[in-house]
Amino acid sequence: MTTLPAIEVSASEPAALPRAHARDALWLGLGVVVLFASMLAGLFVGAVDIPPQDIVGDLVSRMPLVSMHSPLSHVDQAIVWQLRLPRVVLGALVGGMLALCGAAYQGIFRNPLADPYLLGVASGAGLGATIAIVFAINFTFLDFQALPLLAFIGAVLAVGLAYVVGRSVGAGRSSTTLVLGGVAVAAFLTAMQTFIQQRHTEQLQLVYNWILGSVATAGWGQVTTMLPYALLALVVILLHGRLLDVMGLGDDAARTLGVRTNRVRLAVIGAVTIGTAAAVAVSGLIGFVGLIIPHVVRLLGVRTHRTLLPLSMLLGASFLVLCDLIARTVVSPSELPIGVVTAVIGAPCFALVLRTSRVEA
Amino acid sequence: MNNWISRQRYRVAAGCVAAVAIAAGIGSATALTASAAASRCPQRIVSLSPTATESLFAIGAGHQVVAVDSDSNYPASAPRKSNLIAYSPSAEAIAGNYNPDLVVVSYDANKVIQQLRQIGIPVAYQPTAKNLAVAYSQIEELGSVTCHHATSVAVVRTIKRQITAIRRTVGTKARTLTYYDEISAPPYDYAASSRSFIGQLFGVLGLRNITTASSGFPELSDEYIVKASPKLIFLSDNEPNDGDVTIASVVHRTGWSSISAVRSKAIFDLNDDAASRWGPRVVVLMREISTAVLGYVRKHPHA
Repeated sequence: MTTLPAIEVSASEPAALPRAHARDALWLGLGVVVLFASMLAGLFVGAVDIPPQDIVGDLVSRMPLVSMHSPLSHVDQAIVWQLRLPRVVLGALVGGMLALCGAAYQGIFRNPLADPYLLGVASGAGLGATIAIVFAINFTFLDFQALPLLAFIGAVLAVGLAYVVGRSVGAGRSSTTLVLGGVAVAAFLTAMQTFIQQRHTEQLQLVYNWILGSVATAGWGQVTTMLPYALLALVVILLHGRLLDVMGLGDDAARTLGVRTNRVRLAVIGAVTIGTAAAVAVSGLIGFVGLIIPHVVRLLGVRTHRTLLPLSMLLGASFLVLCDLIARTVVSPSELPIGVVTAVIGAPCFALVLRTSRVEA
Repeated sequence: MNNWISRQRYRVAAGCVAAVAIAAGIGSATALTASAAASRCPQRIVSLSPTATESLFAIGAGHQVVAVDSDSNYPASAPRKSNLIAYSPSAEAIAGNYNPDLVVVSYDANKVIQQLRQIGIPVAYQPTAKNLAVAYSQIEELGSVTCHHATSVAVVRTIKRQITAIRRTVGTKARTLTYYDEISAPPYDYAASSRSFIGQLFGVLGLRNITTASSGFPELSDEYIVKASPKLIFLSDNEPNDGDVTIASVVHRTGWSSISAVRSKAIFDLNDDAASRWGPRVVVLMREISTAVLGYVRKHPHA
């Protein structure tokens, strides 16, 4: 398994540390600004043309002690506050969570190819969602609450299974066996999902729609469903930031320094699983964000997990909000699956960033 | 040198952010239409269901329809919007562009039903009908919500009468005939089972399905089809954009020459659209089936 060169650097340049801290703080501040700007853009731009100044005007008219008629019609008000805003917030939440979890996994597995779906979350959620869609149709009404629930349970069970399989062969010594356990579980669950899909071809399109991902919301339900899990994952992952830095030196070195590596790994895997499963349950399988954003942040010169983790979250949130903005406007009045946008926009940008970073290496 | 590289890196990163932002700005949008005067009967209907579009025009509500989805190709006078895709709708665009007072959908993608209802737009959800009774009730439901109840009841009565007439012309002649209805072309031979909506229409005329599946559209192997050797083959995948299967191509499929229907050239094209919808044109479909059956029986009186 490849060790990320970026993680080791800070230890070898002690003199540069204060400057690096100041720069990291600057990046974090910039990240907050970018996220805020992205969310404003997400609120102002949509499939329907509503002038931003009118949206601001409507906001002002809602303030207490202001007697002013809203410049927006009832339909437009509903569009902005009931369709767009929850969607922008959910996009930020999902994007931030996926990027944060990706950064944590890349650290804990010391593998640049790690993403939040590494241990089988996607296949487990996919199977759960497929069962939910087919099951709901059998009872002739679409119970939307069943779908996120089963997707969440499927995701958590899949990672649990991968962990058990990985531990049983690796005696808990190596993260490689965990990854291989994840590969085995993912292959098995994906096959089961495909089997169920083929038996119920009428629901094929619905299943694919879910797999391709969307942060379209029906009110604030999805946001409030996801929020507690996202917060839990966020707190646990951020608390382990420093330990992830130490574990970047390798398991043996980290153990010599007193880090209980298996315990850290279990805690981070647990938090990532909860966070990712919640994100996937409400938005489907959105790829690329969790893999690429942490790399972009590293290429910005950020070395320590203390900055890498929150900055990944901020940029991941901004990235997904902007990608969703594109998804719901370019082929308006239809929508593109957001996974298509994240890859089409993200991959060339990432290749470009990689190209400049190769000069440095 | 190091400084130059890192500046270059920031520039590329900034460029990427700008590219995403610019791409995000390319959103097409159209001006809003004025609010329609509130009325008890919907005057601005949007249909995202080809079946519902056919029903709406059949019951006389066509003039109340302002937009129909890209697949709603019948009747030709329906206001079809090529960019209104029923499988990936945007509630915001539908609400903003058409200001509808009723939206009919058969497929709930992107949470469109909840989103529209949430912003106060009534939605009629009419999923694929499981049987003729459901198809009839959907037509009558459309009649009720669009203020054409009497006409919708009359339309359903006419459909029932025509189906009864078609059934009489076929009588018991189809009792011994087995059939295979191909929904999609090889390598995925999806067939309509007897319990699917279209399968039940075949059943009304007495034909026997070669599949034993309890529901839906099972995937059959070539071996199974050859072994079952159906007496009639119907093609619901003959349109250029929907399989493009022709009678000639079926005859030349490897191993199919021993199938009864291939030997006796009893392969028939069905109207793809009528065969995949559950609206008033079920009558068109049943006429096509009955014509095929009667032609076959005439040529093979002892079959």
